[in-house]
Amino acid sequence: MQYVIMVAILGGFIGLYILAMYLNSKVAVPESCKEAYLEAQNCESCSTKSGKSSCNFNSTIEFLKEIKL
Amino acid sequence: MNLLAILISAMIVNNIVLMQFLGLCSFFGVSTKMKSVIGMGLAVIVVIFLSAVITYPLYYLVLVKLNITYIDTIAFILVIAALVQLTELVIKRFSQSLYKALGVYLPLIATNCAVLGVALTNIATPQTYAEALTFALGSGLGYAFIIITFTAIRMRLDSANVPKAMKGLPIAFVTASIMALAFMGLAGII
Repeated sequence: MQYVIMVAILGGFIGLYILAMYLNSKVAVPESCKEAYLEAQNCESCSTKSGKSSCNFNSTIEFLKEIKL
Repeated sequence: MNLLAILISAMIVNNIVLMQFLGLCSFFGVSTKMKSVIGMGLAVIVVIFLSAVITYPLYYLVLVKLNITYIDTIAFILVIAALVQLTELVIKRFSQSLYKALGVYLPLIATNCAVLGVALTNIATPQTYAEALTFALGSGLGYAFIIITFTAIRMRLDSANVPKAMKGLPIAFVTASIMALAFMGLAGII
């Protein structure tokens, strides 16, 4: 019985998350905030690469190659 | 412990970034521009506080009552992720200026382990609801304080003559470690 409750609770939380995500995706980012939004989500925020927006694996490797001791 | 002591302890003495090493991804990733950091700091304060408001009663009123405390981590992850989505939705819908200032950073915070860390610390330590909320507020303020200070240092380092191999993240790591050492000197005060 306890496992059923646990699965139901977890299912509820997952459902809540999916619902919240769905509702959030339905509301578009306001036009006046688009630039700030893209800047905040820019890969540059969480990568070592600066200056360009790409931070995929290859570009990171290329960036590392540029560093010469 | 009174609430002021908890607030100061969470903010400075047991700082979530420098003493507990949580939320380091955004700490290093976003700390390049002062404007971004202020927005990020505010967003983290709001999200950590709101998540503590929800996760503490959720744990004691639902998980403990149903004797399923072993799913606390996964439950908190889901609840925090949903909370961040809902907060973003509400801010996006009702206040464009607020959304521009801090809402744009909310998707980054959904994966910030500092938020989960505070929620888990709150239930690991026996404390009242008011103490848990104060701890959460202090942790958020501590994060904002440290990331703003760190950004100011990084901005000064940009104009310093740093060897090429140390430019960017390497010197940022060294700076953060020196800051952490300095904060260790405060350990045990409260």
